[in-house]
Amino acid sequence: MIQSLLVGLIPGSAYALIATSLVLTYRMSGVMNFSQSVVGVFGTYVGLTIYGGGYPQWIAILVGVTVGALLSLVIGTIMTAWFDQASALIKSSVTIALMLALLAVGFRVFGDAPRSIPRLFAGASIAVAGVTFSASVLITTGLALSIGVLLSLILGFTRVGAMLRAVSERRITAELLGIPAAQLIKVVWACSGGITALAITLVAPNRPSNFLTLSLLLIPAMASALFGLFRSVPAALAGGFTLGLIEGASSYFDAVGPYRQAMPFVVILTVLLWSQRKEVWDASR
Amino acid sequence: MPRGRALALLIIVVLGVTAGSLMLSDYLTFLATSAVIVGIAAMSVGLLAGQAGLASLCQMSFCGVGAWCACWLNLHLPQIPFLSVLILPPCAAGLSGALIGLPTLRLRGINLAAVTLAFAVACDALFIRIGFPGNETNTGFERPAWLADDHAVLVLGILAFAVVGGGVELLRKTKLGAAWTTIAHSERAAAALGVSVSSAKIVAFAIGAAIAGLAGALMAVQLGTLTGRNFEALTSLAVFSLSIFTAAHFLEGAAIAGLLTVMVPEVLRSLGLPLDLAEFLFGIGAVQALYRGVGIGGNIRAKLVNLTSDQRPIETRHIDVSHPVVARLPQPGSSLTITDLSVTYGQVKAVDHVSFEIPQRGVVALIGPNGAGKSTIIDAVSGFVRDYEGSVRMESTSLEPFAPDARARLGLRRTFQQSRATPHLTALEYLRLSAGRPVTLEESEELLCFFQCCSSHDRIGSLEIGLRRLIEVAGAVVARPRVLLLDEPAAGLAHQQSRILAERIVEIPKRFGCSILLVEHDMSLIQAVCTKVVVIDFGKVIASGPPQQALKSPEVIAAYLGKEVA
Repeated sequence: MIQSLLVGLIPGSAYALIATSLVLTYRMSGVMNFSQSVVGVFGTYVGLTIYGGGYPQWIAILVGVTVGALLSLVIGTIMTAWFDQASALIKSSVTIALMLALLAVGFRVFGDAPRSIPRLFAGASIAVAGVTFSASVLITTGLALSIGVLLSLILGFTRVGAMLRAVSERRITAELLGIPAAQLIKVVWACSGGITALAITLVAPNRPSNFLTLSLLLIPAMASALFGLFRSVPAALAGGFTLGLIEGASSYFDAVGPYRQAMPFVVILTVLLWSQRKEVWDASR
Repeated sequence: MPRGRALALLIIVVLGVTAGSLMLSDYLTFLATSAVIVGIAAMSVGLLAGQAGLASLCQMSFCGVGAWCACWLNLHLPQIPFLSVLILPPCAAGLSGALIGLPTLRLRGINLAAVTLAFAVACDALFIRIGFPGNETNTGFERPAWLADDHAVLVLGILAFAVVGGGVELLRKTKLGAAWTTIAHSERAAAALGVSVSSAKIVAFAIGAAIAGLAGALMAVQLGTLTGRNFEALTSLAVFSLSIFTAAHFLEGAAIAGLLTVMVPEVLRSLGLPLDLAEFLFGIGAVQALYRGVGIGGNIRAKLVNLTSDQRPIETRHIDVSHPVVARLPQPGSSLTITDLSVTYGQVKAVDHVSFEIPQRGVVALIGPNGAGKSTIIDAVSGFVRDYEGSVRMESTSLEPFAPDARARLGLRRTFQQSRATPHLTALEYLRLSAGRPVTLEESEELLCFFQCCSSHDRIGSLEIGLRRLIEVAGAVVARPRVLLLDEPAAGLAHQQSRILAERIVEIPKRFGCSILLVEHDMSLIQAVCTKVVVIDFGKVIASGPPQQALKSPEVIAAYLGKEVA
């Protein structure tokens, strides 16, 4: 049982990281970015290709993360240049369309056959009280936690964090105060793309990985982000790990296992119904 | 375009297309049938997202529900008439749509999108898990003899498309359609017009899902064997983006959506290009359409409307304003009685034990500095703030048990500080939605002339902001209210318009038999129209009485000019 819970830590870390990037882009641009995970998968696959070409793993990962960041930067630029004043519905529709377009490109470039993805930290493991912690579980979890905590600290306690919060709350006021809002937003988009690429690279060896299934990591990540209503990074982290652990636990019970994919729906519905129970009206006044 | 002509045009087009379709080769027939089915599915998204503003990303799941039911009926009850295979599955899908709609009533925008996408993924898994009826025994959908030919299926599809499309077009012209358009713009505005937002949304979900279910049943008829792969979450996303791209809530937009899905891959094939380029093109096309703000169908419709519109210039008619339009006998007692009204937001008492009355056919002004609590009082009285203390009574009815839309239907109407008149409706459609009863063109023209704002067929979105505010007031008046709450109606009006508004407000009580509570900053307007003024500051009533007297009270002067009262 505990061993199955541990298995859930790796997808949990990935959900937590993608959810964190979703929260970042949502707070900065008001975009619920449906193309988030596809962008990450792109990065991952470019990294894989580089690795396949005989380069060392760390260079491959670095290149993958950079590609994810750049792609996300392009999307962020499109969103801010064209759809800044658009409604949330329109913005989401745009990212859905971009997601489909990127998926098509992904199929074309990388094919949609499942790939075997090399383990990142093969072999090593520690056993504590009869429970085996593999190195990949420990490193992945540690990375996710430290990135999440670092981002929360930056947002909460640094000057840049204060600027980012100002931009997300009152964009125009922030600009009038001399904060370079447009540049900051682009940086955030790039970071979120890089983080997502990293997250997907981490989880890919443990998944049936073709381009599409990895892209659909978006759904559990969205469920995780909703824990904090797309506003709080710590809540998104907690949501991601919770979801991963539930998933790990459910693999232990055979009866629930097959319906794993339905779980984000139940989680999303419950969280939203609870948090929105008083939101009777659309806009405030 | 007049309804008769539109219907005739639709029939001619359908007949033409049907005749043409009989001459197609087998391959083209198959493609055309697919196009028609995609068109129907696109219409279901268009109805929900394009018209009612509900981003539903699970329409293919409803499609799957329809298809599953059709397969089940065909396998287990082969003796029932074929028509029921086209009627029962949409009903089942509609029911599932209403069930999904029910818990999501409080969800909108991106939250709704997240829930529906997660639902699509869950359904996806479920369909793959349980399979479709007949999958295990490898029995496909068995068509009746008269449908054996693929051309017959195509004709059936075209007829279904025409019926659904015509139905959606007709719905748009009804009160329900106008209600959806208003909900997409602002739910509060819809409720203030007396529309029950929840039921309108559930009906939208049910109808949208039923249309998708019909598309699913037709898929079963066309393809015979189905699997979960036909109804993937990703396909839902693709149909969504396609529908936005082509503005599929218009008949022609849905037709284009269908044609594009089959024609683009064919063109790519003939050019020797990879087929998945189609998805890429759709994605880019949708982004471009979203950037310009209208889908293809929207463009065509705008041109059609321009071609066929028979708008005449507004004739300035003289209206006899001396006679009342509504002959309502004054009831005994006050029109509106507010007793001990308090509203608390956290630590802040926004409204603090406010009591006042509005006499029958009186015009009372509610004034006070910014943030004094004026709009909160309006929100409480109209029911948008539910947890207030104290009581609000209209004539002899206590209003507490009623939700905003019910209060509106009882005859308590309000306007908003920011103009909320639905920009996509024409003035006439707006008045009809608000009135809740038939409004003749004659009556609408007369009312709009009374407020000197526009002609019945003007689209509200094409008018300047001042006129939109006047239409909002006209919309409230056309409902024959007992009490009218006007929240800063003169804000944003030009001086001349403001003067006309003042004249009209004076005439409204005797002409339409209602009383008015007016929140306003324009003192000359207040002195011109009001019999009584209630001044509040920090949520409390600090003065009330006839305008001249109340405005001269030292507390009022202090509140406005910020001087300490000795």
